[in-house]
Amino acid sequence: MSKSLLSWCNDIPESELGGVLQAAMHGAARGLSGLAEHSIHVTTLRLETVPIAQVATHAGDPETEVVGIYLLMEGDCSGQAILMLSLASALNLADVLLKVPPGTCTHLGEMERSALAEAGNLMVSYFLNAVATFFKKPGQLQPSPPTVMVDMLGAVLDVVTTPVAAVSDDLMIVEAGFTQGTSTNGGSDRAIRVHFWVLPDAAQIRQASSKLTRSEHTH
Amino acid sequence: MRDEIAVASNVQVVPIGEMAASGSPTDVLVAYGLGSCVAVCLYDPVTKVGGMLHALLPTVPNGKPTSNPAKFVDRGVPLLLESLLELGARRTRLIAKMCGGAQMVGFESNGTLNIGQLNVLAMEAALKAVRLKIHAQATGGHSGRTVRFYLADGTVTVRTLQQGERVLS
Repeated sequence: MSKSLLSWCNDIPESELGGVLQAAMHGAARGLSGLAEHSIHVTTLRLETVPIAQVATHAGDPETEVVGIYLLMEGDCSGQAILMLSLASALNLADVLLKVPPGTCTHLGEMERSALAEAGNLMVSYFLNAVATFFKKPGQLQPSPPTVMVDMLGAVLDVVTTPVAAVSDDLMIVEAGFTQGTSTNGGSDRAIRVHFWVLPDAAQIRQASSKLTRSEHTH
Repeated sequence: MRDEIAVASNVQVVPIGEMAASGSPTDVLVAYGLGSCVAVCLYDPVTKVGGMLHALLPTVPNGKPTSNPAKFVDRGVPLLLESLLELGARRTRLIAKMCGGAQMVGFESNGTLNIGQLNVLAMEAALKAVRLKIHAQATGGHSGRTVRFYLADGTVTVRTLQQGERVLS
């Protein structure tokens, strides 16, 4: 667990942050499961500090075509959130969300993009609700309207990297993986795999960094 | 594309917020998946010295010192030029080609609305400040780009998912 990220939400005791984020990500999975009417599980949850130069390769092949669903988080725990899916996973998820037979969605038109945007909105809302519940400030953390991008992974990640780069050489990421269903279909061509990143905003990173610096000098 | 060079080439990836300079004609400098980022390729056709900057922000905030100048167009361009001159390039022979600066999202509240455009404007200003003329560019739009820079002859190619790869001229 990254020490820097533990300073992200300054009001959360270090011992409780992992549990809060775990509850928040499981909440996001429940939100997506409810919308899709399919069981979707959290498969991985990590807190990472990634150098900006390595962000694209950390996420995969920077030239690969991906679908990114991007939202800003506003309120006491502001920052950015992005869901990333392969094009195949996005089409499979669109099938599920639109309740059409597998393989029906073959491209991302307006209807498919709208469904994916709604999924992003719901997942981030559930994530924020869990965090807000911890802060005892229900309803005060809100996501912005989502934007759906379909492009090279590197280009999609420019969007989350740029606001942070002005004040930091590293990205602090809460990173979770989600998979639909059981192991029997996990490797099939109908699988849905979602990578979900939450990034605290630049001001909080600066605050966390200065706290860390002070802490390092103290010890 | 350009398989005859690729066979004998040495690919150097130029990650986001970094730069690379080389005097080896077999080198190919590559920046993958530029979105709002901007890349500039500078090339001396006589010495075959070339370099690429892959910057993601136009200027250093408040002009403060920075641990990584290559993140910023205004600091990165003079740094790249200095590296090329040290490798034997001559400023008066340098050919500049610029790519990137797309607008990937339209949110107004986080300041990313025009970051691609701001990067392009900053690059034009930074190159003008060191008296370099832009010979070709593929900038703006809403698509990611991969840029390959072949030091054998200074060719720059640009690839997008929609249009494939083309030579920038």
